[in-house]
Amino acid sequence: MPTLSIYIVKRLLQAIPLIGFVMAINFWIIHAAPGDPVTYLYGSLGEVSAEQMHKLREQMGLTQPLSMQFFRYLRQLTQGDLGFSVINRKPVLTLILERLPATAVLMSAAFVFSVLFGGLWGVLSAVKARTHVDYWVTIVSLFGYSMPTFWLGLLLILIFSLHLGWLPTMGMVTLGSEGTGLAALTDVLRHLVLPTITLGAYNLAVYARLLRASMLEVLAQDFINTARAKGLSGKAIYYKHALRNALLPVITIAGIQIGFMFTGAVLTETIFAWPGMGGLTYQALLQRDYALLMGLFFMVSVCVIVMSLITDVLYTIVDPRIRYSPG
Amino acid sequence: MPEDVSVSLRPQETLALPSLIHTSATAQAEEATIRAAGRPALRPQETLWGRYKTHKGGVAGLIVVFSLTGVACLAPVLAPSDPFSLGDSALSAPSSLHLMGTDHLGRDILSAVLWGLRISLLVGVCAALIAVVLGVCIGGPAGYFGARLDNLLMRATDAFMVLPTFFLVLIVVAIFGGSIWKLIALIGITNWPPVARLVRAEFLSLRERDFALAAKAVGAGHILIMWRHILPNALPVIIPTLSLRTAGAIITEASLSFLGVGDPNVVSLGQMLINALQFMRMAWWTAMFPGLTIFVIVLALNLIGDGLNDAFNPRLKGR
Repeated sequence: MPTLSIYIVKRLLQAIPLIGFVMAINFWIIHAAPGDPVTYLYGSLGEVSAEQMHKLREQMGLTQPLSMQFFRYLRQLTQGDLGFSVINRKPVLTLILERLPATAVLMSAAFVFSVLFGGLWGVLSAVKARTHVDYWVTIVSLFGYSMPTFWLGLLLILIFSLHLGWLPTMGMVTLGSEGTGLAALTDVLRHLVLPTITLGAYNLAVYARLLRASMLEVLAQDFINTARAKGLSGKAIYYKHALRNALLPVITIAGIQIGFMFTGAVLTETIFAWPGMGGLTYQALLQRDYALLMGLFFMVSVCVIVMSLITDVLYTIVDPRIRYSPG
Repeated sequence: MPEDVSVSLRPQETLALPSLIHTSATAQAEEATIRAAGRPALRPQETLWGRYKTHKGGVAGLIVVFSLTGVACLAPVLAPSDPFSLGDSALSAPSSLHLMGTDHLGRDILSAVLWGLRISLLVGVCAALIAVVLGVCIGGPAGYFGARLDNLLMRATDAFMVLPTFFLVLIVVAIFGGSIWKLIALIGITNWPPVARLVRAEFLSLRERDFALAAKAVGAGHILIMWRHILPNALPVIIPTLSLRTAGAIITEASLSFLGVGDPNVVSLGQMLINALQFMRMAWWTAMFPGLTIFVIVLALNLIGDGLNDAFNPRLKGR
């Protein structure tokens, strides 16, 4: 499919200025932040004289013109050097990569949860439009839509961990457990339940609302009448004809929602002490580890840009009309 | 004098093309006869309020928001004690003395909730106003002029929408510190993209409508057409957004203060909840009431948004 590959290349080219923009924001914030790295590293020691500090600044290139510093910064980033966290005594990239898998697990779980149940919810609501079922589905999704992520997390802990004692309150694995294989997997899954619901609930409501609206729109179209007229069963119409078309707007929104999901992940991981990038963000905030914060912002931005790229490409595979439209 | 004519056009008049060909004298005479005859009474479903009233959730939301705003305004009078004053009984359960109990430092939770509500509403409304104004200023011209400007502005909007802006606000406030007004500005500035997209789509379709073309034909300038003719007709999509954005901004502010990033000099509901995380095992009320307050106000604002949407756009109702 030559048109598809052209489209992908085009989208890739569009992503480059965006990543450049993120780099510029990053550089600007680091530069404008109070105190430069030298003051930060040695300022509190007292025995380093002003002269030595100046020498150090020269060595680190901090006295060079701003544009030179920016290019040096860009070169560092492209080589995978996100800076060094003085507080944690590790390169920022190492710290982030250590935490990446846990966040990936949590976000995928929440994504699947929200798409699956939001989809079911939305279809059910559209098929039973203007009945009691629809009414309750709408109300419940409105609640999900209005529920602040962090409060939902706290409530779930209150009910299911503290009151009922069914599920663990924090972490990804039980501390000190030596289980392997299936036992270890079950342990992680048990820890995953509440964070997944917390992180996925908002998106679930978003997808349910969206899918309901787009299903109703599709169901009102002529080709559905045609399908009915030729005697297709309700199920075949809903799932083969309507749902396929109704899913298109959901894919677009899902691409945008992934960015918002990182926000939710920061809150969720903070509440459940989940060992991911969100928890790392909270830790960096508490420790005032700015180098780590900036590195996290850069990594999250790149992840989000890549994700939105993937959803865009997916979209064109599902809906070939996009590829042929100009722009 | 083309300018004269266009200036005298009111949005309602622009909806009817013939009014343009009237001279001002005949128009005045006509208006006088209509006034003398009295306007025919509108049926309930023909007025905005009449349609809004049928949306039960919207009415409930309106009542909740009004009463909570009233309570928030009267917080200095209503609050039983100073939200910062330390009491002698830490983590005491809700009782007649402390209706919502006390926190780990013995502070009265009800008082803190009342003061926190003020901040939530202040941040929510102001940030939403900033977001909507920015969204209109960016989305409006994009939709109205189209072509290159549209392309440029919408690319920027999409880019902004993709970026994790919450993260950005988090970092900026954490590093540079944040007073409540800085927070409002930042939340407002990062929330305009969805508004811009919505406004752009509306301007794009309205600029082709007869009243806009008519105004153009009589020589009205671009800014005048956008301001006097298109914007008033785009309000049905803009006003519900204001309510929904307020809800969003309240959640953003609470999320920021939950993570310990915010103005340390004011009481914030999010901050109360992060403290509650440590003491929840012993004192459920520390987590319950501040969260419930945020949830109720956000739910009410969302209901108002839905109600307004249905009332302004009755044809899309139930979608």
